[in-house]
Amino acid sequence: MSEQGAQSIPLAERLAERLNPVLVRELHQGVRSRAFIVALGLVLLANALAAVLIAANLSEMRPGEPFLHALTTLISALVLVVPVRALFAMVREVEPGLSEQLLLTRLRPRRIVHGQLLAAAFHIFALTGLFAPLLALTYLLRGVDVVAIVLGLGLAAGLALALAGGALALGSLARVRALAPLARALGLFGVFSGAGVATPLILEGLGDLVQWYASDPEEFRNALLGMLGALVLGLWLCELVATAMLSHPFENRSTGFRVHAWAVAAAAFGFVLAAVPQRFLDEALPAAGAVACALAAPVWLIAATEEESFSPRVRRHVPPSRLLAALAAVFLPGGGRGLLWVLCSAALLLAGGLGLPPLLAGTPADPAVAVVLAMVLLYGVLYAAVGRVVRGRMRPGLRASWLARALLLGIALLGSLLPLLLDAIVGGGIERWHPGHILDPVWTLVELRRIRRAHDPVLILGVLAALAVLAAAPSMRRGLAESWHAAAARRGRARPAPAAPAAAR
Amino acid sequence: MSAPLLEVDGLSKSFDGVRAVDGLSFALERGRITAFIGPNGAGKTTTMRIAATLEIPDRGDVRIEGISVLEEPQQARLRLGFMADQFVPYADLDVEQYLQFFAHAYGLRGLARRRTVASVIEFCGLGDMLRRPTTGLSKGMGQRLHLAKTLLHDPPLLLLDEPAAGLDPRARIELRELLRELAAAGKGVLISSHILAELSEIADALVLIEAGRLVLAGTTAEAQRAVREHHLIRMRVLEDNRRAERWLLTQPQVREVKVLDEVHLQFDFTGDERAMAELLRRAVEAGLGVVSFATEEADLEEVFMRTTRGVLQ
Ligand SMILES: Nc1ncnc2c1ncn2[C@@H]1O[C@H](COP(=O)(O)OP(=O)(O)OP(=O)(O)O)[C@@H](O)[C@H]1O
Ligand SMILES: [Mg+2]
Repeated sequence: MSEQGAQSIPLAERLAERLNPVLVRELHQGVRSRAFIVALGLVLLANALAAVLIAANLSEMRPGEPFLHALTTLISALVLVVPVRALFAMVREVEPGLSEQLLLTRLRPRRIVHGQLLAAAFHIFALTGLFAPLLALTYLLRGVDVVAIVLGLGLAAGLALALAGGALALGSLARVRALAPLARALGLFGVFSGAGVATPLILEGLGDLVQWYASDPEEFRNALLGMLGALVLGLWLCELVATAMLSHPFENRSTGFRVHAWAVAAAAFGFVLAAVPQRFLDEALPAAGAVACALAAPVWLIAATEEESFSPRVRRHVPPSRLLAALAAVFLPGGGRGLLWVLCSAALLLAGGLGLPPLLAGTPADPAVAVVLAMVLLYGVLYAAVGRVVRGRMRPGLRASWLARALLLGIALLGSLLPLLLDAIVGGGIERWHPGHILDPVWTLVELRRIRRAHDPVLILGVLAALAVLAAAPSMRRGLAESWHAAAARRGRARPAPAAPAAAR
Repeated sequence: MSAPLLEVDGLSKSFDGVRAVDGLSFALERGRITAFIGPNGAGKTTTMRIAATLEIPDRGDVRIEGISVLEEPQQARLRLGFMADQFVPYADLDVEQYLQFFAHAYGLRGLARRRTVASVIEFCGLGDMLRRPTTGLSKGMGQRLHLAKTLLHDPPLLLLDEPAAGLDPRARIELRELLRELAAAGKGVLISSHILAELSEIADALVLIEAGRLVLAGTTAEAQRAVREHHLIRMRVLEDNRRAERWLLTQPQVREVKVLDEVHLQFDFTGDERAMAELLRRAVEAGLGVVSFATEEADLEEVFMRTTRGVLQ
């Protein structure tokens, strides 16, 4: 019997083999779980209820309204069921005993996260399928066109996927056992508040979007592209966070974030170039640079406050070739290299914000926005460099890195609050901005237009940032040297040992 | 010459100032069952978790068939099966689904996957409970499923952390049989316990640790020889046991002298029988008034007890 059974593997099994194992497991678990029965019952009930309500009030409804009601029910189900399920699935996935068993297999953390994301996508698909009869029925009642349906379903799916991605990222924080309750609470709060804000926006904006499509398809396309890009980049970031949480502190958890930050910057510039009319580029491009920097600020600070040296695991994976090692160095883990990456990022954003307008629009960047860009970049560089110096004085270890980050926040807070306090006590009141407030990014940026020339904040901040970078320079030099030596060591290892001495030994 | 199956090399690991493992080194051979013995908190679990790539040492390294777990954990993982001290089941998954999932995760496909899953089910005797939920298994059944999962990718090295804990005598015997078969198939097995008796019958070799440090490593025969060289001696003197104690403390091979009562003393002695006879002669010559002089025989259990009191160090 076993012979016969072994000869022919059922098609379903062969198909399942090609899927992500975590997805297959989630589906198996889903079907058996009690939550599934409850959710299914609730969804069917919502379906029936919506159908009854629509039918009862049909005579008073405008054309298209029944579909909107059906869509509302679908979105509510999607944004509640899918992300919450994803959150709890992830919290369970990172339980110490379970995740460790899994990491010993051939599954890499990223594939585990992908499996969870795919499971969320599958649940969106399945739920939408459950609502298909209701949607079809309301469609037959007329008043909606295909564009509205596709758009409505697409937005609903996108929102549910985005929320599920966020839930997975927050759920993965439970890998640190002390954070597990916080991860659950934050995850639920994030899902509910995100759903609460975005759902009405989608439902109310749907009509406008459809009209937009009719009146200006080009602009509409850009808006859609922008949303899609944001979704992709957001999901990517969620994937990176969850993967980092699942990975060992010894693995490379830095490169992905650094590449992602550059992708965000490229997307910001790309979106501006595609969507903004040429005559506004002189303002929009530097603004895009400043926004990209602000978005990347956490990654900048984390990169600069990493432990300085390679872990043995990462050292083994430095590219052996001299050229590649030099190019990849700033993307490799380590605080010194991280700060170098920050400097490269700042230079690129500056080049993009100030260099692209004359190239592409024929006008220089708007000076007011250019100053904002310069200030934002300088703040990023200053605090990253200070973070590197602080981290450099601490012991190795992940805990010290997070302590350094907390200290950095403390320094920024003190740098903002102390001058205010001094003003209030010594000066008799907080009058107006003066250079003593230069460490306060928020107030300085808000006041920027009103600050007198004599107090040129760019100059002051520039000097401070340069000093901080100078203080962190040895660490950057060591970071480069380390990756250089690691590459050389790999080349040495790859070369076959000379025959004679080996034999002699 | 091929690299040893498992090589623990100068391993150290602290947790918040507590030294869990402290400069530990030993090696493991293929086809042997090695008992990894130490009292609670000796660092067995920590050592195994480092070897299984799950924990990072402060110093030192572990190599599996020459592959460093620090540098190439992915390669190392394919060569080891780690059975943690606790089996954590998946909710809402039955035994067969559980094994199929892990087989899938280990990259087994098609007929190979089916055959492997079928063979571990048969080997571990899980055939009757394929439809049972993994959360509803007894301790023994859970351990069997855990072992089955550990064997799926056919690793040459098995690291089993207290697999027998909580099993009834019959399940223990069954586990012993399974381990014997695995060792006969050429696998190296490192099996930890703080109960030596549990392992003394099946283990071919012994690694004894205490407070993260190696106390003794070798074959069981070597361990027994070590026992033979370490005698617990009881001596009775006519009177003045204090003087006898002072004299004993000046003898190089004598340690841990205890005064039991007015006339009885007990001490540890390192050396063969000739050396023991010499000691007795000198005691008599020193005029201690020796009335009786006898060794107490020790078994493996006692080696464990005595060595972990620090006698052998
Ligand atoms: N994650 C941890 N955090 C803090 N201390 C730990 C941790 N893991 C182990 N220890 C400490 O390290 C020492 C060794 O523990 P380990 O679990 O390795 O011992 P063991 O030999 O397996 O003991 P047992 O027989 O009780 O299982 C103990 O003092 C323990 O308290
Ligand atoms: Mg233990």
